[in-house]
Amino acid sequence: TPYKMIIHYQALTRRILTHPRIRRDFSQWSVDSEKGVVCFQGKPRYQTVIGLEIHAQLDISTKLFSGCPVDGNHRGTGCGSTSPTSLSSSSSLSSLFQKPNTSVWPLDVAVPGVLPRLSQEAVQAAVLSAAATKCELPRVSRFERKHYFYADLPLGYQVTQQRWPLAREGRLRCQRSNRGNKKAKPSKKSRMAGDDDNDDSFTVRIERIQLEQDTGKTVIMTNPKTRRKESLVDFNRAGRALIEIVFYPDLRSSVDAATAVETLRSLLKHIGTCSGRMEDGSLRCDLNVSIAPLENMDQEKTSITTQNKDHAIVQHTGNRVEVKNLNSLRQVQLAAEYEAIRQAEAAANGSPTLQETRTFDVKTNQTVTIRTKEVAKDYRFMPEPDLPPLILNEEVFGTPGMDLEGFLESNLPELPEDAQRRLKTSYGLSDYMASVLTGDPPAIELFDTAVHHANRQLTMDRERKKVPETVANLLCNELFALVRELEMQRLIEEGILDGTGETSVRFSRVDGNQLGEVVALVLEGSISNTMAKQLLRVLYEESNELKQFSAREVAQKRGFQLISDSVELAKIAHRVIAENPEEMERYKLGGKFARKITKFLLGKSMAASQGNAHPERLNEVLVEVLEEIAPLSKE
Amino acid sequence: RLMQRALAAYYVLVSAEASSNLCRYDGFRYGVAVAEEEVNFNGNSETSDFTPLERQYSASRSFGFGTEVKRRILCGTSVLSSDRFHTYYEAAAKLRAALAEEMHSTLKEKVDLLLIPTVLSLPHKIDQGSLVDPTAMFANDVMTVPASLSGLPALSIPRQTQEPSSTFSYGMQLISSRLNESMMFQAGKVLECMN
Repeated sequence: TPYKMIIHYQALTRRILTHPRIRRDFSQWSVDSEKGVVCFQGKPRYQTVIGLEIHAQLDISTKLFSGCPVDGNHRGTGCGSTSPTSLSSSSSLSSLFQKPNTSVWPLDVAVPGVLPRLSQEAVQAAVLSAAATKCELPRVSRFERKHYFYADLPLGYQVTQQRWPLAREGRLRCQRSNRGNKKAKPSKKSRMAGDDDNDDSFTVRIERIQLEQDTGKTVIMTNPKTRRKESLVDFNRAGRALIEIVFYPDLRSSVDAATAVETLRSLLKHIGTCSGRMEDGSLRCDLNVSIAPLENMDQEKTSITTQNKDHAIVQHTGNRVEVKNLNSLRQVQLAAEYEAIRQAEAAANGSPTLQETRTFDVKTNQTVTIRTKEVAKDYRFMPEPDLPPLILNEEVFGTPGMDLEGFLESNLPELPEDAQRRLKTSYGLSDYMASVLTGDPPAIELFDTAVHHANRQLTMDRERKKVPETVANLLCNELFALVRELEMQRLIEEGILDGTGETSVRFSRVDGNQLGEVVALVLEGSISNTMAKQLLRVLYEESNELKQFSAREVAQKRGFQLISDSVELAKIAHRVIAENPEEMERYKLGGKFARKITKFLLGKSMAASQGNAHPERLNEVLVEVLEEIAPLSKE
Repeated sequence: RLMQRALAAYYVLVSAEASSNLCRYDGFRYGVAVAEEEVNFNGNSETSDFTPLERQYSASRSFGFGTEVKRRILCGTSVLSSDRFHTYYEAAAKLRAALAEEMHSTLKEKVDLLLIPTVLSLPHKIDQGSLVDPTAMFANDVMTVPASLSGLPALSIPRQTQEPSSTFSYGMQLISSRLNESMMFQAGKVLECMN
């Protein structure tokens, strides 16, 4: 089944991105995937400079201006849209399998006489997206028409926001994936939430975010009757709400570019404004690649800071080339690298590349010119006369008296960046744990609840100290696995989820309180780690029947009890000692033999108790019994 | 004054909007479509590198639009082009804003209604249509333009001719402040009765 192959999207992409590669296309030229330095015969010659433009389809119920429902005029096309656990992804799923031109209202095909009406949902989603990327949101923004003729643009113009966009000057903080050490604790430097770029992270600045309409989709097919190639247009997508996010050309390598796209993708997914599926086209990426010569940089004084050096280099950046039609992170990376080398070779040969638009050919992993003659397009931008200026006031936010701040406070969820920082600083979790949790927002909530509950149940500080780590371990290693094993398949089969859904503890039958209780039981010494895993499974599998019982009660009923009773333990100790007379003889020799044999007997006793003995208690009792039976002379 | 330049501003803005609103008429989803084979593109150097789609569009639009419409589309496209936008469209838009501001304040503070002629010249004979200069035709709108640009209600009332032999006479126009149509209708009724 498909979903099993998608282990965890983030982990998968990390695997692609982490593996360091040097790309060699032409025998002499190469580019470093991570640093973006283009070398000729091993010598650095150019620096890659990349700017991104991302179009994200807003995950809302209607189109931007027409009111047409996004999942078509036919509801419930076999994807369980009436189920209570139906997610918004089901609506975008059904929009995938729609027949062409079935989700179209008059405005979407520019029937004369229809006027646009801005969707409140769209504005709210756009505002949340802008706030999540720390943009400035001016109170007023305006719509304009961008004119050009094409079959998939029914009005002959696209309604967009050119001069007065919704948001400006934001930033996206990205993590370079940590190779190897998953369990590494955050270094003191990064734990202090430093904003400086280091080897672990970097910031990309956002120039603008604007609302705009999507076009229809052109498909080229061969007509079976005439045997000729035809272009057909499907207007289902026409008029859907998009936000265009334009970045400053701050990126310097193909890996960084792919990382930035992935970071934005998961951020928008996290706040729920975009489903973020590149393969379906709900997140589209255009790449702007250029190169800057690195000549004479070695001779520069080393006192120049990295930032100044970078600034000096990019002053001389060559013409930029736009690459379109990128449908996956891997394609982003490949296209960037191919372009860097292509431009470098051309520049070195004395004929630097012109400014142009190219498309990415998936078969050859190369970029290809779209049109031989590129004339600068004049879009004849004109203010949209049918729409008033967009003012971010209470009318937009839907609640009387509400302003932007109020809206964001009640609607913007904790951002992954902030959640990750909080998990690392407040709870001391490792980078890896923190990122697994933030990769699934309901997991953060479950974690918080479990920690809170466990703390309430424990009395001793030294037990409380270990709570976050223990909860995180059980959550990430056990609970996720349980959900994946027992829930995901069922949900897919029932059609509630599509096959690309990621495992989320949103579907868990065990809640934060129960998890907290299990952790408390472990840390107070009532159950062992192994028992905890088993207990969790029992609680999960029999959640219906065991609903009214607390985890503690279930543990008792099912015999998950660490044996702490001295008498019990003494019995075991005695038995084990009796079963191992030879070892006892060696024990009596004292010194290091005594220590070795004690360890050996401890192991045997633990095995005899089937792992249910409380380790420390058992050790105490064993030592006592040994003292009784074979007292050693003090040396 | 503003009124004199209002006419020019009006035509710049109206042509621009028309050229934009008429973009959708390409024969592709509705309306007139002309097969590209029916139109002779040969020997035309400007269209030789058109794509088939562009050929189809221009054939349909050339056929489907009348002369006056084409005139306005070309004018509008021109004023929206990037090298002319500031000089024409933006200047016109600023003028419109200034005019609207002045008319609003006049109608709010100084007077209740404005009474002006609707047209400055009488209609031409039907068989002389092709002899009339288009720009002169546009000039006829000078009296109705200010209300349109300012977004104010206006009402045209026919006037009885002085000489019984002539068919047409210059109509009169009432302009009121925004949302004040009721006052305008009342005054109009009185004027109508006075005829």
